[in-house]
Amino acid sequence: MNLTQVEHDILEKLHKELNSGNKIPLKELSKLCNVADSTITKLSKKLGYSGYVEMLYNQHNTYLREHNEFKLDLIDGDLQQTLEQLCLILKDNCNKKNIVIKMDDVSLIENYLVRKLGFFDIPVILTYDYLTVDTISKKPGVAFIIKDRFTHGHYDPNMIKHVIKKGYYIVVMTYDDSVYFHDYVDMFIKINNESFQNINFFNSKILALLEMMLSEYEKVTRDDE
Amino acid sequence: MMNDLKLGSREEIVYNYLIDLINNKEKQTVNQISQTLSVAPSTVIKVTKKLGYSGWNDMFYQSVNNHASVVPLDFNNFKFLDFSESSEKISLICEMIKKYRGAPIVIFSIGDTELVATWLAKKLLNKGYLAFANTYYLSLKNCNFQPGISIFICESGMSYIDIKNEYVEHDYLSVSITSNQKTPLAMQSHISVEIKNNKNKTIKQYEPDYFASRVLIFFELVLKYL
Repeated sequence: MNLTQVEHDILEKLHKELNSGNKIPLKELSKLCNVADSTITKLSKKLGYSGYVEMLYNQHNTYLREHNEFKLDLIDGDLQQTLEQLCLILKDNCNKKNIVIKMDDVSLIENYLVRKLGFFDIPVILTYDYLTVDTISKKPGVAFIIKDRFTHGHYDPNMIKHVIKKGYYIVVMTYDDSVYFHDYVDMFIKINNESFQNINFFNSKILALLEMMLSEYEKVTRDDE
Repeated sequence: MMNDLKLGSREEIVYNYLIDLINNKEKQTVNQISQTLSVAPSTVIKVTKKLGYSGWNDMFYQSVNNHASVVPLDFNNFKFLDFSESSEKISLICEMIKKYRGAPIVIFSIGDTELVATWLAKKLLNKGYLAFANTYYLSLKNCNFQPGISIFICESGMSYIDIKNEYVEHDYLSVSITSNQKTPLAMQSHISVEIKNNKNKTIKQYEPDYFASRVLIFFELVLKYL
């Protein structure tokens, strides 16, 4: 089908919007393309649709079909190397006092970590108060700090400072390229923030990474025996 | 499905006709529909708006095209969901939740997904849905809510049967998210979603279990399309 340059531009812009998960209304698209509404309606009809809405939904479905094999990476960097390093840290600290700092009100990830490391006899305490960190009968072990971005959310930055001061081995998992306490971080894991339709997959990626870490840990400790 | 919708008798006729058109994938114009049913075109549009759509075209294409026929997410070559099936389920659950806006959505979860119920309830609440995590029917019964949806997330599919039965007895719909559709919970639910897990999960020779991670992806997609 012969499309004019303007029509090509309209489709390109429409695809770009769909790519961001935005089913853009006709008026917004015409404004974005600097064309009249009727130009887009005409294009819809030229492509065999009854109108703009039909074209929008069909183009949306085509887009989704074409991206059927979308792939999400877990981390930026070498995954295997990261897993091996995490296992070494766990091995070194399995008899020390490990903590995971509560970073939001639901603590979904933090609880998962506590539960699953418990399966492997690695005690981790979920904490949001200073007292837990202070009352140390064992040596400080690992402090897990897991948060997509440190620029928002309900967490206590002073708690992080306090944990650093107490000598914990700081492991951070985040989307943020750098965090304000970067100089004190012992292991920094940058979670890949590639997404699909602006969905935040941080939690899913972390849980997958933790599962891989557990599997690797079990393998390493088995080999040692 | 229409417990929370206040439709007049004429609107209900329109609603049923629109659902038939969607089920038969038959696209008619608003004018054609209004002529067939002898109602004003504005009545047709009003019904679609009451259902949360911007108009008839929006309702038709969203419903017919199973708009959530999204992607098979793939983490380092691990297929997370069989999307040919789950996309339909995502679409179905989205539509159901939208239709039940105003009625309670009660979510239970256990095991690796223990806090998913709390997480999901919070997300749904933020979107304006009346969601509760791990709340027994007894706690809601004095609130005079219309019956809504009960969602049970349980990898083994062996828990929550009694709680589900109690909700179903009080006209709630039941949705189960389990790792196997042949489990008791899945088989007794109105809608069951199977999300793959690692069947050989033992502490010795532990292989990663992505069930919880996949459940989160599933609900992130549901939330996206709400």
